[in-house]
Amino acid sequence: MLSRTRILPYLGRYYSDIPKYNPAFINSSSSSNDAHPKPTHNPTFDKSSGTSTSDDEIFHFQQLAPTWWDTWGSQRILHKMNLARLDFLQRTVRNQIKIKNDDVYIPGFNHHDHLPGYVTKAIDQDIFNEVQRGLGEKKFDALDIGCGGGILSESFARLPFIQSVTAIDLTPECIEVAKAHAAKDPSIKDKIFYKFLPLEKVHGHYDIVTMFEMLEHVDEPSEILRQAWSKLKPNGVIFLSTINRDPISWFTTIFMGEQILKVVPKGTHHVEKYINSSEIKQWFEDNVQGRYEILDTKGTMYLPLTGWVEHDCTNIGNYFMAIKKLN
Amino acid sequence: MLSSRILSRSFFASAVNLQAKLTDVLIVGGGPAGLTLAAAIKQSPHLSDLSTVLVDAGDLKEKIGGFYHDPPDNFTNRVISLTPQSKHFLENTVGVSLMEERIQPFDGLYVTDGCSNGTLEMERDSMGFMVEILNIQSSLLAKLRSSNAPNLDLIDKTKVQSIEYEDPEDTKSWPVVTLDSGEQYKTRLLIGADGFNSPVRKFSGIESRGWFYERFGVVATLKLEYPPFKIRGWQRFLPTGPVAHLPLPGTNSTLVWSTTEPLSRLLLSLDDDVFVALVNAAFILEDVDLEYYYKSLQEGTITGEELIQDVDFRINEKFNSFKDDSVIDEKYPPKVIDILDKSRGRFPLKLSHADTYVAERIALVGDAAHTTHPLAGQGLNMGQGDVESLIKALEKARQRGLDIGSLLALEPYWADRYPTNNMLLGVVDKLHKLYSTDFGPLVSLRTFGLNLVNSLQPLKDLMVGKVSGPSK
Amino acid sequence: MSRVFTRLYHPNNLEHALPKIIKPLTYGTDSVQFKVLSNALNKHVPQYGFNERAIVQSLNELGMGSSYLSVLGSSNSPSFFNVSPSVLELVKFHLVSKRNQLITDLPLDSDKPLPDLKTLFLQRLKLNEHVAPHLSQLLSIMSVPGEFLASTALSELHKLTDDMIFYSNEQDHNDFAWYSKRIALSTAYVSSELFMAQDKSHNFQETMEFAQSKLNKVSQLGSMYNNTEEYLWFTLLSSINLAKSQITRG
Repeated sequence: MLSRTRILPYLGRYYSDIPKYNPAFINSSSSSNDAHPKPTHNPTFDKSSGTSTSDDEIFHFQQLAPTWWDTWGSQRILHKMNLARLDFLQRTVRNQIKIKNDDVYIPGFNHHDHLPGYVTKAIDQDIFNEVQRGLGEKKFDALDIGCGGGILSESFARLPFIQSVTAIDLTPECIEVAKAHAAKDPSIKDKIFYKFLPLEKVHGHYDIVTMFEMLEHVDEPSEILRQAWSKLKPNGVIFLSTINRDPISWFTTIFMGEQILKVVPKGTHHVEKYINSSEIKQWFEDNVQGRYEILDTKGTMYLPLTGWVEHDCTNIGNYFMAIKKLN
Repeated sequence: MLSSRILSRSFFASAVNLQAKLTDVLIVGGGPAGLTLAAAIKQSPHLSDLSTVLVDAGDLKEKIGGFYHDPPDNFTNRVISLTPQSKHFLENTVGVSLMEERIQPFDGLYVTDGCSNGTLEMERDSMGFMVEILNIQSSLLAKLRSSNAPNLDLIDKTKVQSIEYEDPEDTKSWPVVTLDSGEQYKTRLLIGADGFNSPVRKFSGIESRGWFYERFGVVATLKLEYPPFKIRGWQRFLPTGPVAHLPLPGTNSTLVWSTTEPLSRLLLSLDDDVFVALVNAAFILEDVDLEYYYKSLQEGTITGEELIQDVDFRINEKFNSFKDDSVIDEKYPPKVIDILDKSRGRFPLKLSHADTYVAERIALVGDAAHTTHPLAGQGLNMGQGDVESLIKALEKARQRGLDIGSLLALEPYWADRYPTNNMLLGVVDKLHKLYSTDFGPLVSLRTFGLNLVNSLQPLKDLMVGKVSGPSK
Repeated sequence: MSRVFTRLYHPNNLEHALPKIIKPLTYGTDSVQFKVLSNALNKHVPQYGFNERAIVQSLNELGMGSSYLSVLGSSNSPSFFNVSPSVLELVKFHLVSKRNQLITDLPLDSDKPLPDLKTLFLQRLKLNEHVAPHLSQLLSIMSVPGEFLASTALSELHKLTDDMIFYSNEQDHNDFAWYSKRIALSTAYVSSELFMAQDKSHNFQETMEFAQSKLNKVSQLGSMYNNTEEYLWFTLLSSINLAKSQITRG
């Protein structure tokens, strides 16, 4: 029905959204500012600070702030992703707990395939109990960069092994919404500290630093990584998640997500700001040589009627990453 | 008098936030579903630190709790069949020790059609367990008491006076429950385990769909002459409703006879021995004979004595027509000789299914969410399945640091249980409708179907597997 | 007080006793036609049947000439099978007066509960008893295809069933069941009348039993209709809720 002459320009409009690949993006600082036509403009903070973000990003999140906590609203997909984030986080933290009890048998192989059911159950139960005991003694301080409405911060604050959460964001409306929401729950309102600050103004050192779905919204992700790394305690872990810059990501997150299914608010993502997982690994290789360990990298994608599922193709689509600062 | 009460109410209403105690979980209802949920929460490593309050209007601690330590010799008349999965969940996951000597495992089901000779015989070792409801409740109470869990409050003999939101404008705020003792609880998650007329469900505004079957279930505890040869459950589908004879330990058994309202009144009004004769007749004689007995009893044209003799005569006649006496034990339940004094009762039967099991800060389990016809013995088991699923959802939510009252935490429970419950309710309802008529062609059709299923062993295994869980 | 002394332009009930007219009859209860027809119906029809002879006998009894016959029922169009308009008027009178009699006996003003549908139904059949030998004639007159059937007989039948349901303690639902119930009842009534036309039993016992069983079928149909509607509604809503519950997974 639609003639070819009408379809092609239509598609062409979408295709022109995919930018040309800029390999120097992640490592550039001032040069990236020249490439952008729009000026970065933060009303309160010093324009030369490297951790600022552009005006339209802030404006975009200002619009979304009131409906942030509506689980069936515009941010549902984010709420669903939070579930996957916490699973990833729990698994990574638990894997880091050293079992000191010598009586517990830790098989070095995949015992589920080789041993009978009741034996594997007993082994799993033993390990679980030990990890639970070890984890019970831990009390971590966490820093959530780009907390938005506080979805991750609140989930963090409820975990027993987290004793405090400092959460920062550059959109004042989001901080207000987050504060108002956290005040309603007596079990967390004294554990979360929301601050309207850029990253470089945050004091203190933290056991866990998180940057979920945030690196693709800032102008200088390398600066953010550098600052965040400096605020991490030894043996602390950085958790981050962002999106790879490839056609499939464009297809799923922008074309399907924003324009067709409209499950993601329009204008949330910009392909030119996406960062590949390999680029992050390269950054660590170049800047933190030898004193880091990449604990886990997992790709994740959204399936309708299931939510976010993990997979092992870490260079396509969304991904989580955990990097530990070695002593 | 009234005005002063209103004045004092409004005064206290404004002081709601000052005196309300904070709690994480408030369970309204101390039936099997509510008690199982409380015990499971305290047993789960991820949930045991949640502060839990259970409220019930009845006498839980003394009357029901006392059953565990000082049970009566005779069996109570509310008995249900527990599937192996439910029993496993109760004993292993929740850690309850049921009173084993009052439980009867049965190894088969013998289902017959009252209008024809259609028969379905299903056999499997321990395909179900006949357990008194009081047994389950009191064992759960004993577990709660012995485990001495911290942060658990069992409030019995107290009704819920009112429920309202802390902030009336905000339906996501914490609900405040006011008890008629004057105490108030502000809770993160409110669980409705309070039966068919659930006040929690009314508060939540969740609609419940269904209808009354216009049938009543007559229950009684029966005494047999000899212990049964084969320990199985017997069910016969009469046009007025199914009559079920289910085994209990020793020479006891329990009766559930679903029948129309006038007939249920008639059955309750009869003398014990006449009732016993009718029970025996219901399984052995033809439906026309039974109709004749009902009519004669209602019109008063037959005395009790005459009826008993007539029943005996006809039964003997039928038995004598068999060449082989062993067939009698195969096809018919053991002869009932007596019923326990004052054990006859009746309750109305209805079908209901709530639109959704969860709302912000509210979850419904058990009869508050769904009720069904007892002909398949699934009602309580569905409630146990609900509790198991809700516990899993809450554990997952806790591990992910979610607010356990938020819809994100509760929705997986609804998504998991609604399809299963919907299917079971639908199947049981269709069975009831199918067997409620004596319309000729339909009877032939269903007899053919029943006999066909009976001859297909793999299909029977599948059915038993679905209801009772995989065979060990 | 002033109400009594106020002169109104249009007469109201206080000032004039209007002749009472039972619709759809066009003459009042005081009129000559009414007297003639009621006399014919009560005294002469049981003997002679529904024909001109009964009416003429009645006219003669009341001292009027038989030429008055042409006045009665002149508003009815002539029937195809040589049934005179006056006989048609007699039939119409029979239907209307019996229907009216059924309702006037009811305790409408007092707090007494309304009677059963069954009671009204059987009562109406009982009212036919005095013309019972001529019922088949009556029914054949009514069922001749023509204007009488459409405008009078059928409309009277519908009015009858409507009144029976309205004035009984039946639950009336303002939905499609409204029509099905009335149609079912009309069918039951017609078949009961047909049965009565050939019933020879004492006191029309068999007719009453027949009518009872027909009524039971009507209520059964009613409950089946309700049950089916209930069931379909339930299934539809359950399917919608099932879909909603699975959407929450994503």
